[in-house]
Amino acid sequence: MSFAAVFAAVLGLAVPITAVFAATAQGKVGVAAMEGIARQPEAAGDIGRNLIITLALIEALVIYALLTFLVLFPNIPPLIEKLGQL
Amino acid sequence: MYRAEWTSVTQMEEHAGSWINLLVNLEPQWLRTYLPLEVVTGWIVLILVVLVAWYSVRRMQRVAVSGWQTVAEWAYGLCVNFCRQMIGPGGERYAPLLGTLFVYILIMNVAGLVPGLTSPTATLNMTVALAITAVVGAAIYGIMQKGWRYLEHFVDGPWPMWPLMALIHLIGELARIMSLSFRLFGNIFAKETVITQVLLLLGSVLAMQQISLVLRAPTVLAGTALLHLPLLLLGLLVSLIQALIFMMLTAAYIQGAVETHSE
Repeated sequence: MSFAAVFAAVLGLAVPITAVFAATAQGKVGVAAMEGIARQPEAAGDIGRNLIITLALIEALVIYALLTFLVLFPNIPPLIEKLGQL
Repeated sequence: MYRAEWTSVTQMEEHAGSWINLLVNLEPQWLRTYLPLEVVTGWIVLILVVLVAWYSVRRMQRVAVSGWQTVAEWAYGLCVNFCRQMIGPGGERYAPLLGTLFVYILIMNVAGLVPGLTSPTATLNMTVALAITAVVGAAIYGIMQKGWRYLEHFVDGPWPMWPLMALIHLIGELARIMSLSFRLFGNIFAKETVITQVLLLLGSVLAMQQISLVLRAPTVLAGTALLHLPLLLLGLLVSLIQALIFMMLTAAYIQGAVETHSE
């Protein structure tokens, strides 16, 4: 269990774990929006707009995790070479 | 034909050739670090949008007779309605900024799907510039609307805590810039990276000399239909959604800056 192996394994877990929490949160937001629209159909436009904004704000956190992955991903082969083992 | 150390489609194109290389080779070598293809694409998109807008309102008449003017009026009507709903009755003043942001970002995002071009918004330079424009624009609109009373946003609570609250609010504004820019950059850069990797994968299959061409060609065609085409469609959807999100968030920031709590 070298450092490079653990680094690569944990790096691969970054986006999936973030996506699980983000999907849960977006589901809750979606449920609340649907209930609001069902209760007051004439507010569907306003609720829809706020729904899209909230979903984007949550999704941005997953994108940050993806960016971290994309920045660190090309560093795995040099790390393996520097440490001399897999 | 394909080399394993390539990491981008641009390298593949530089080696194998593509239509964009004819134009890119017109640029002198010393200029290429300062004006890469992304920046020039951004300029071309800007000139294109300005030309279309100018052509639409040329010889403008009260009852529209030209098709361009009708389309432009419809688009502007959408923009103004959205601004009125988000920001309130005075929303028309902010429609130019929001509409321009939407159209400019949308066309820049989609420019990455054109073979040979790359999205300017896939570079952090462009997205941070757009985010700073949006947030500083919201602050300037707030000061224009409310005068120095705009600074009452920054403070909250008993007066000894005002410096701390102002600092926290300022950091919140910086976080808005960062989140706007990173959201757009991450989505478009990820879309482009995924399409690039799939193209490199298909190219490597096409370059395997050990397998006969009769087997390679249908595989690459099937791969293009099953992988490349859905990814292009997904890229189109993501481009549209991210442009919409940028505009809506800027509208929300402007609303927060200019709202006057009605009695």
